[in-house]
Amino acid sequence: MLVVPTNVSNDGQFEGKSESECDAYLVQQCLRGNSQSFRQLYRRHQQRVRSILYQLCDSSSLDDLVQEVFLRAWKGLPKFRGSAKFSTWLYRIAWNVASNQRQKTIQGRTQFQALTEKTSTQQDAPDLMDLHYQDLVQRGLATLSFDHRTILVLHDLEEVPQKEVAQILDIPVGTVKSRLFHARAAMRQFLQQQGLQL
Amino acid sequence: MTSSPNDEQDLKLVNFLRQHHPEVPVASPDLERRILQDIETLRTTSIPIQRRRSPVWLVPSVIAAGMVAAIVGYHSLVPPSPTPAELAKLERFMENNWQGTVGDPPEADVFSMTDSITDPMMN
Repeated sequence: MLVVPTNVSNDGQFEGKSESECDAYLVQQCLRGNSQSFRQLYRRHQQRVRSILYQLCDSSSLDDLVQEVFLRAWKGLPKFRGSAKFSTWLYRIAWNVASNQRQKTIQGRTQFQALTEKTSTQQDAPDLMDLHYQDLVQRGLATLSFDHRTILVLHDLEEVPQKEVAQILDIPVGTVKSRLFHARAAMRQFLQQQGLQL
Repeated sequence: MTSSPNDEQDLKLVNFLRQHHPEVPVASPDLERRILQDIETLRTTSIPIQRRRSPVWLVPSVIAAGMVAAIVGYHSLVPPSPTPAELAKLERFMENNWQGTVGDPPEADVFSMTDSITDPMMN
């Protein structure tokens, strides 16, 4: 049975409720056709979805990808059974969108586009050293396989627990641990090759 | 809750990655409006978003349909009550044919019936 939240702040946060409970309530409202509840779900999760997509795709069409994720989520809400957390389900959609985008990128991307994207990112960075390290991390992520990159982004950067990562990727927790071990080793090796000793 | 890195090397690496992971570009100001506009379009043009109804709702419908079928079947299968003319005709028929059908049959009739039977093997 769902509990109707009594206090809702302006930014859509519920007081005294867990994130899962709030999400579950908002999902129920969406299923009744309340698109304003979906606005709240968007505001609660868009930043993390955006971050996951950016670090898995580093795409120039990030807004379009975010839009696709949330549209897919809206369309898929009737099938959402609530056995997993809404965020887990949503991140899985984000991962699917990122995977599709990666396939398209591999097929159609030119080196010139990659160069211009990188240059524009660098211009936004405030500090030269920080810029250098950000570039290292970005290039390091790019050298990883998509599986290892996904694990590193979800677990180490977005701090998603291993159990949830396993649910998002539909793999056993043991596989998550194994991939995490190899992904970190590969990243560490890349940084060492770039002259960075941690 | 995130499981903590097992060793110091992992911890240093994870901290470095978190500290220096590329900054995510800011969303365009109208992205939220675009998404909700698309959803509003979907909502108004497609069937309402609802969970799939449970098959339990079929039970009362099936029961009601069964009752209607039983009532209609009963009325169609039971013959209509006879008219007064048909009753009178039936009564006349019974009056004309009932004599001799009630009571013990006379013995003579029985013997005459058995006598009249001839066995072809005896001849």
